[in-house]
Amino acid sequence: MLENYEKAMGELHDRMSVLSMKLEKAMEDTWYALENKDLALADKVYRGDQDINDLVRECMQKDLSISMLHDPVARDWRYLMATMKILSDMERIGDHCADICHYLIRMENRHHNLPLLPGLKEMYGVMSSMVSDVLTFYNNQEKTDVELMKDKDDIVDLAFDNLMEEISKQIAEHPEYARDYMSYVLIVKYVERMADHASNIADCIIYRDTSRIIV
Amino acid sequence: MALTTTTYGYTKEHSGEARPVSADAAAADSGSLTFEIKHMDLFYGDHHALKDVSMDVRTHEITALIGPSGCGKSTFLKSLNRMNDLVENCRITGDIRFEGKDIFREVDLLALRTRVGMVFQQPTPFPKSIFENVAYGPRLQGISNKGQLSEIVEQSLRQAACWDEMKDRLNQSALGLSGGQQQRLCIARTLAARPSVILMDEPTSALDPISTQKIEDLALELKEKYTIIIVTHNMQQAKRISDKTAFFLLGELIEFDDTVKMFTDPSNPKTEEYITGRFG
Repeated sequence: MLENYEKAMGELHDRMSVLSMKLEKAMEDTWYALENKDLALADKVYRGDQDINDLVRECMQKDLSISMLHDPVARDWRYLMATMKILSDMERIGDHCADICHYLIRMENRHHNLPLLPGLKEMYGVMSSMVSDVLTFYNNQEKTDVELMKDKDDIVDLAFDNLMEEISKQIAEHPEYARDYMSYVLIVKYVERMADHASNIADCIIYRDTSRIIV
Repeated sequence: MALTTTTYGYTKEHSGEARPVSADAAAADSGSLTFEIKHMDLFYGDHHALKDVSMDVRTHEITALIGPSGCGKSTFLKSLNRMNDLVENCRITGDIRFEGKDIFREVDLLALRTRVGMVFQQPTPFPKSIFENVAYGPRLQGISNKGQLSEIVEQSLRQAACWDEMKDRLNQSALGLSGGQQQRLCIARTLAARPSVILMDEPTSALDPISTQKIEDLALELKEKYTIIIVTHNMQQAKRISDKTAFFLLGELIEFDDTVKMFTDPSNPKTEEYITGRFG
């Protein structure tokens, strides 16, 4: 019985590692597509979101079946509860990669060839490192660096405010490109939300490790 | 191995020392205590069966005792109403207080067993009628008035959630009842003696899931009026019904804390290993 339990937990952990790798690849490709206006890659990320969703569903089913069949307690139970919540956040991060690519394609199809917003690269980089860090903490069963995550989230929030200012200025100066800049508003908002999801994952890891609930 | 804390909520570290673990423990201590056990050791001849156990049992709570077979949990339970007095070569040291009084020096044995009732693993109905089973204790206490006995029998059967099933067959043999009904009858018989504590030694291990559910529901109802201490091998049962859980291992009380805390975030790695099924 215990052997089956350990095996099922191991399988879940392995699938979560695969999901993490797919998610990090999607985020990397999303940035490459955005920076290089690579619409073929953007389309690939957009369509690839279905794979991430399928893997999320598979992990959720594994998590639920272990919870139901093996009645886990203590650290195992916290791991399974945290994983279920983390899966929702991972799924949303995947969605946001697809959303960014979707708006990139729409924007580029108008052929206005707008330059990349100044500061977006740095914002995306900080957000991306947050996601990468929490997935590493999760998969390697390491403790989350709470202060580091908070600092990075603050940087992303500040960058969001600055970029909104910049977009407002650009729309005022170039009203003919307003629709493109509206797409940028959404893209910047998605990046900011992805950082929030990374923070949520960090909170879940804290629960997994300490049983402390952070809201 | 000395314990340094006593109220409730502690774990033994690897070093053998204990430390408080529950943040709520201090606040909760303001309530009344039914049992206070301090530095209790129990020996069967040369065998040291319980080692320096200290624990407080709070009134109107359900305390679950868990641990692998032979860890001492049933021995500990039976010490609380001095059932171990019947065991040859059994010796107990330390302090066990029931409602503030030393159970060996300040409480009459019959009075103790009246106030601290016990329900066993196997239902043990007497080969008598249902009525006589429940009336047995009150009769021993000197109550002979038929009306008064009937009242006690009805009240006890109602409290044990079996009045509706048994009211029309009070004169039939208790041996004709199902296992689950027999166990609830035994609980009614215990209640008829007007105890304040009910000790339960694996009361559902011989019962089917529906009868088990009824006993668990009953325990949750009874804790409004009684203090319950239950030995169980069923982790789910301990989680479902108890307020506090005590984990015993090789005669030592390893951890004692709120049940929710114990099953979500145990303080001692040995507890974690046991409740997750990784040993025992």
